[in-house]
Amino acid sequence: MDVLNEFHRIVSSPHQFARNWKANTGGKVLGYLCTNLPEELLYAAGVLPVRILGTNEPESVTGPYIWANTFCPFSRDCFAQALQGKYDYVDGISYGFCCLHARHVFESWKRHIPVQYSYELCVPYLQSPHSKTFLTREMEDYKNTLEKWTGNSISVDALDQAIDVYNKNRRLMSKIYDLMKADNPPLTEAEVAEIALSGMLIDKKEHNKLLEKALKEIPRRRSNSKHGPRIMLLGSVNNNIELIKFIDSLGAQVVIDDYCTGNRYYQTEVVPDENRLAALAARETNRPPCPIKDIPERRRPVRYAKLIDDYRVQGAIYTIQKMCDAHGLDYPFIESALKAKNVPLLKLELDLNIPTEQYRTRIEAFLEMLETSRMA
Amino acid sequence: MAIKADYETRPISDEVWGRMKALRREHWSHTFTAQAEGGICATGLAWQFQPMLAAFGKFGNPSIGTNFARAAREGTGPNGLRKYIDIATAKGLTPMCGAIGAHVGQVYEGVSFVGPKGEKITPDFVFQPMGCHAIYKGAQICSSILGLPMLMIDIPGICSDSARDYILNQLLDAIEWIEKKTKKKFDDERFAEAVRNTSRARVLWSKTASLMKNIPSPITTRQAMSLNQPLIAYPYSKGTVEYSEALYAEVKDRVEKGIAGTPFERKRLMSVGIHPLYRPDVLRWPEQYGAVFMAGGPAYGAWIRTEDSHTIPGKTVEERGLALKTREEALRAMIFLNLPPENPRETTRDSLVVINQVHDWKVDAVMLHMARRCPAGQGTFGIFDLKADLLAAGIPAGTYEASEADPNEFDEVRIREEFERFLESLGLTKIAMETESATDDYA
Repeated sequence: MDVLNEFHRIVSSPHQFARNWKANTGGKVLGYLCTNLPEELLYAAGVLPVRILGTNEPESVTGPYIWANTFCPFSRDCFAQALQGKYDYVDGISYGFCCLHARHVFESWKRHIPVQYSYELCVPYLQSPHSKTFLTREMEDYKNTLEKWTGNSISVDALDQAIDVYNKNRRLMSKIYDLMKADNPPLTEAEVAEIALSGMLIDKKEHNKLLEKALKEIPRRRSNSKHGPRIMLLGSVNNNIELIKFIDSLGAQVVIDDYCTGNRYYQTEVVPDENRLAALAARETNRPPCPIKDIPERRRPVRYAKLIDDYRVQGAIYTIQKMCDAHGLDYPFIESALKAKNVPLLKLELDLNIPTEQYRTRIEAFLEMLETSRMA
Repeated sequence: MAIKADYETRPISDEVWGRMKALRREHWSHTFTAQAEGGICATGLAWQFQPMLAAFGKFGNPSIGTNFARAAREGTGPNGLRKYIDIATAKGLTPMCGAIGAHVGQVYEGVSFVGPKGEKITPDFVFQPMGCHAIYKGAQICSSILGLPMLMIDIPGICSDSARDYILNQLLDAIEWIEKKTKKKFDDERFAEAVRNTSRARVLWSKTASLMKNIPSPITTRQAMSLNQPLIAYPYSKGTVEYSEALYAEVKDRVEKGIAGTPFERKRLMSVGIHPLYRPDVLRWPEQYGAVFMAGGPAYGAWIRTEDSHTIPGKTVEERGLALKTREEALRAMIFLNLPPENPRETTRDSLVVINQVHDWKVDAVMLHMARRCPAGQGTFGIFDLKADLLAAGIPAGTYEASEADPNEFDEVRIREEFERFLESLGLTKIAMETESATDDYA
C-alpha cells in the first residue's frame, strides 16, 4: 500500500524530510527531547520541530560524555546520533523537563555540539491548577526566546492555526489507533509505530495529508492478522520497530502501545482558551503521564484498564530501557494493576544489543501461556 | 619512621558534641511522642520546609529528614543495607538507586515505624518536597505500601519569581490539606518562629562551613558530616540555633588558635557527590597520606550563588529585613532559604561553581564519587564534563565508582587502589604519624 510505504520511507530516512524542508523553506529546525514541549509554539514561530531519536544500534561514541553505568541506552543513542553528525541540520534544541537521562543529553548537546539556540522549558512534575499557572508563565518566557531567535512574532492567529493543525493530527491518529480495536486489525503494530513515529519527524500538515489518505485506504485492506493473543506494549521510550516486528512474528497480535514514541504522544487535544499559552499548559498538565509525571495519584493504571477494555488486551509486554529507574520504580504497581484486570505481564529489559534468542524463548513461552489460558 | 604532626589537633568540645547528640536524640524521640502530645507525624525522604510541619506542634519524622541519613544510620551497617535493598529489588523495584532501595526495603519490612520500646506508630501522611525523580517515586511507593495519603510539593529546577510563587501557592494549599487530614491547627506564630530559627541555624552552618577555607581547616568533611546532623532534621528548634551558635564560636576559635581537624594538610581535598554513607571511613582514607577532605560537604546550610558562580553564606530573615507578619510572608522567607532571590535562574550543573569552590576553599584536588544508578548525583550527571573542566582549570581530579547506599557496589580493593593511585599522583606517600589523628567520636 503506497501510503504505508510512505510512512516506512520517512521512518527509514528520519532526517530526509527535515533536510529538504530546511533547504526549500530556509526555515529553522529544532530538535527536541521528551514530549513535554508545546510544539504548537514552535510551529507558530515557523520552526520545524523534530523529535530526537536513536537508531537502536550499538554505539561507541558517547562513552567520554555520558556514563553508561547509570544512564539509559536510549538517551545515549540519541546523543550518539548527534555526535555522529546525523543532526547537523538542527539549528536549535529544546527539552521539556522530564527525566534526568534525557536532560543529560540536552546538557551534553549544548556543550559539545554548538547550536544557535537551546532552551530547557521547566515543566512541572505535578499536574494541578498551580502547575498550569506556573507552566503558563514559563511558556511566556519560552515564547519570548523563540521570537528573539527566529525573528518571528508568534501571533494569536499563528498559534490558533498551529493548535488546529496539531489537534487535527491527534484526531486523525486516534482514528488510526481505533482501527486496531477490530478483531482482525488491518494494520500490524509495527506499521502503526511507523505511522506514529513519522509524525514526529515531518511537518504535521504533511502528516495530516498522509493520515487522511491512509484512513481512506487502510479500511479496504485485507487483514494479515494471525489471531494470536492480543498484546499491549508499554514501558520506557521505544522506537525499536524491529523489536515490535519480532514480537509480532512470534505469533502475538500487538494491538496497542503506551509509548511516548507512540500512542501517548498523540493523546489530549488543546482545548481553546482566551489565553493560548494557558491552553497549551493545560494540555501539558492534563495529558496521560509517563511515570515521572504520574504523581501523587497513580493515573496510569486507570488508563491501562481502559486500554485493556477498549482493545480487548490479553497480555502485556513491559519493555524497559536498561537503567530507566522511572519505569523501574513503577513496575510492581503496573504489574499488580494489570493482574487485577487478569492481564499477565512480561518484562523485557532493552539495550542497544537485543538478545534475540533469549527474547524469543521468553516471548514464545509467554504467548504459549496466554494461548493455554485462552483455551482453558 | 614516625613524623611530627604539622598542625595541632583537638577534639570538638564535649559541650558542642554533646549538644549535637542531644538534639539528635530529642528529634528522634519526637517520632514516637509527637502524635500523643498533640502534634503530627509525617514520613518522607530528603526534606525541605520542615518549619511548616513544626507549626502544627511537636512534629515526628521517622525518616530522620533524609533517606541518606537513614541509609547510613538505620540500615544496621552494610549487611543491613544489603538486606533491605534486596527486599526492595525482590519486590520488582529495579533499577533504582541504593538510597531509595534501602529506604523502601525498610518500609516493606515494617521496621521504620517501631520505637525503641517496640511501640508502633502510624504517620499521618507522607510528605514529599521534590528532590530527584527517584526520591519522589520512592515516596510514592511508601505511600502505596503504607496506605497513607501523600502530600507533594513540586520544586522547579529554576530559581525565579515564577518558581517561588508556584511553591508558595502549593504550600498555602498544603497547610489547609494537613489541617483537614490531621484535624490539627496550624499555628502562625509558631511557624514564624520556626522559620526564624531555621534561617539562623542554616546561615550559621554556612558560615561554619566557610571557616573551612582557612589553612589548616578547623574541621574535616568527615567531622562536618556528623556536626550538621541537627541541621538536617531539626533546623527549626531553638536548641539547634543555640547549638549552631556554639559550634560556630568553637570552630572560629579553632581557626584563631590554628587548631586543625587533622594533623596533616599536605593536600586539601574536596569530595564531590554523596560519598558511600555506609563507609564514612572513605572520607578519612587520605589521612594516611597526610591529606584531608575538608570541602565538598557543606550541605544543609543556606547558601547564595553569586552572579559569578561563587558560593557564599545566605541571609537570615533578619538580614533580609523580613517582618513575617503574615503566613505568606513567613512562607516566602522559608522559600528564600532554598531559592534565594540573588541566585541566577539556572542554578544547576555549572562546573564553574565547583571550580570556584575549589579556589575559595583553597582545595588542591577533587575526588568525585560516581554513584551507580543515581542519575541526579553531582558525581554522575555530567561527571565527565565536570572532570574535564576541573582538569582544564589545572585542578587534579580523580574518580571512584560505588554507590551512596548500596554496599553491593562497594569493591573495597578496587576503590582503595583508585584512592591510592590518585593520592600518589598528587606526590603523596603514606606517612607514619607520631600523633593520633582527630579523635572525635564519629558515631
